[in-house]
Amino acid sequence: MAKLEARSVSVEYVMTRTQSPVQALRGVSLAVEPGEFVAVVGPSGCGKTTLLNVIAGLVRPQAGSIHLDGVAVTGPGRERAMVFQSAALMPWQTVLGNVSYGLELQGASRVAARSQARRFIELVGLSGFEESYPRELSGGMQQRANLARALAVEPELLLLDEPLAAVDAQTREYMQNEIQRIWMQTRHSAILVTHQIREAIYLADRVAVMSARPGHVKAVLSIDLPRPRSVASMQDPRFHALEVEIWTLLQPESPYVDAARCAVVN
Amino acid sequence: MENTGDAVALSRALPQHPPRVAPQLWKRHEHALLSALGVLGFLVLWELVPALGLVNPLFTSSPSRVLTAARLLAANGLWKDILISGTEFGVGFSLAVLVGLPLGVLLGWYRRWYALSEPLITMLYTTPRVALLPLLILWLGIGLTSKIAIVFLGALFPILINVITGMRTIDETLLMCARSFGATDRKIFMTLALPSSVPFTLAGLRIGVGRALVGVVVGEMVASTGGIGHMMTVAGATFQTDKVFVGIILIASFGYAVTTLINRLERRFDSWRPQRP
Repeated sequence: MAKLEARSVSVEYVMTRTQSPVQALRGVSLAVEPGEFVAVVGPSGCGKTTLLNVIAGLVRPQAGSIHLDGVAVTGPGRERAMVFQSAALMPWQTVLGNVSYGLELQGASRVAARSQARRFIELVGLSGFEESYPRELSGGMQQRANLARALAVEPELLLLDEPLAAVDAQTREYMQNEIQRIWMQTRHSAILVTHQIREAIYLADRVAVMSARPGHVKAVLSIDLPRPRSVASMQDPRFHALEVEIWTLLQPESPYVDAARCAVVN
Repeated sequence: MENTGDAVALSRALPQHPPRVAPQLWKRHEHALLSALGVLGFLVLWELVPALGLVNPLFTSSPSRVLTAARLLAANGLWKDILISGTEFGVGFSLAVLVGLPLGVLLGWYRRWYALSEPLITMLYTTPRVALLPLLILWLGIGLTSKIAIVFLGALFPILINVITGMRTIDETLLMCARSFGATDRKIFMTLALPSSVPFTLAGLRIGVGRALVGVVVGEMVASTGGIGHMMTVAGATFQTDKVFVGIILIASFGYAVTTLINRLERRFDSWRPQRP
């Protein structure tokens, strides 16, 4: 049985300013097998993040449903944890306090939460910065703390919402490797939302390609490149072929997306 | 010979020493030194201009005259006036904090209570509180109580409004993060809303101090039997410019001291502000 199944999920929301309804997702279906890493790519504004929010239980879909191990879920739960696009760390808490946050919210005692948090701070490579405040960390380090906070609750399904969108290119490549290393160690099921095609191929077992708004899954590609993947994997002709294939799937969307965005702005 | 060598080395090292200390001292305390210089320069000008006969000291007074007046006043009940004004400020401002903080937290957290009270609060916030003085004097007389009331009302609304804003300004993503971990409202209140409101609260306190001082002085000027504002009114009406300045300087110094203190606190908590409100 699939770890996670999204069945024909549709989401529509109302723009606050114009009061006009926007269909973000239309009949999105997606399955993630236990221990599988699935990446979702698509043009910006296609509802990737909305899909992740629905799966996290933060957004209620108008139609369709989310099933975890075959059981329908309607709200957030401790088997899922989200890594946000912005680090979203509490500025008044240290790294340790921030990483313990999820555990403490889920009812762990302070002592237990802190000792568990230390383990995951080490896993993401932030040892020695337990007592640092977020403002003292670089963007990449803040994202590590963000990742550790989600990992610390030991979720069965890890949701990554463009976690590397805000870090510089060099840090990004390095962190992609780190995410692969951590995932191979923990073997959660994982969903990564990204707009970078190479990142998706590099990290995922399967890549779901979404269309422009209203988003739906256009195609799902299997990435059977051996792991651990490295810079060498990117030289693999298969890697390149996949990149071209996904690029082609996304290509006709772009002008439409720009037109649609203009329509929204005006 | 060795000693001579040392002396040469020392003398060569010495001249570099003093010029390096002064710039360092300057660099480290530049702000404080410039601030002191500004005040000092003003005092010197204030003393010189009347002394050179450019203006009439009967109207402008001068630091030395103010100092003499202060000594005279100190021997004749200035302390009583300070005590009265201090009490009005202390009690009124403390009450404003005691009421403003919890009420602000409550109104910032409960949407419906906020909707219910928002128009009244905004109206009272924008009305000059001094406009309420005639009413307060009618109700409470010209003693301490009416002044405490005006100070309280002056400080309450800036504190209240800022705490409410702080409680309602939680980083959107942090809120989603907490919810994704299944946080209850109570937990969000304790772990996100309260800490988020700290920098706003401090800003409210800083504005509140200013408003409270306005309350003290204007309240005493309109109707009272004592206090700094009362002393100033009497002195002004009897053409005692020096005494008026004593009052002005007392109030200004107190306001400056308290504001500086709160500014320091604010800087310390500035990084607590949400990145994207």
